[in-house]
Amino acid sequence: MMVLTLETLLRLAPIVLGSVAALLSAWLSSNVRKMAAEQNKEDKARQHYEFASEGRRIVVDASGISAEDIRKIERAAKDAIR
Amino acid sequence: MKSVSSQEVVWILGVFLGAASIVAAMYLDDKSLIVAQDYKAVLPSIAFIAASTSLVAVAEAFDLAMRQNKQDMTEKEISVKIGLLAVNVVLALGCAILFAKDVSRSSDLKYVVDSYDVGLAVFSVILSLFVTFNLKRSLRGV
Repeated sequence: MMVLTLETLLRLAPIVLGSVAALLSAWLSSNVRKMAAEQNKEDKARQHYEFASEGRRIVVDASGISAEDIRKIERAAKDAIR
Repeated sequence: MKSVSSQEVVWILGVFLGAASIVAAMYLDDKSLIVAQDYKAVLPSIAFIAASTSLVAVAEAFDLAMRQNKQDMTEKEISVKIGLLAVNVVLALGCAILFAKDVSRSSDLKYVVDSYDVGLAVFSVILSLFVTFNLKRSLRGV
């Protein structure tokens, strides 16, 4: 009886583990979607970007510039300051 | 609920054609679809469909992880993307192991296929279809 139970468990293991992995993957990908939606909302709200270094503060008006470009400029500026 | 895009339809059609060809091959070989032993020759093919389908999910996860510059991502985003990649790699590895096992067993003359083996192969196809489809959908618009 013991052997039978163990064998049954071993046979069920790939099915159970596979299902768990699939559910985990589905949950994570729904997380990705949610984060992308948040990012989009944030991007739409941004009209300017700013950064500070050694007491100087730079604010740039970015209306009419795409969010992707804003992020690129911001990254370049951060690198330059560093 | 987003509707299914044409790209996804083409992808599903590809997987479906693979599965249909297995049924066709069994029919042409005068095999019964309800006798487990008759699946012996096609078991590796079924497992191969599962393995290749879940590899697509791995590729999509890699694509997602590579697409954005790391500086733009928050800590949570990075963990989610790495987690997604890890889970999909493990799943694809499982399907690949099942495929290898089925290939090595198919040359064993004494090997008797039972319905569990067939069920596991079909289940892995369904599972990898579910995972890859889910991933493809959520990556749309990212």
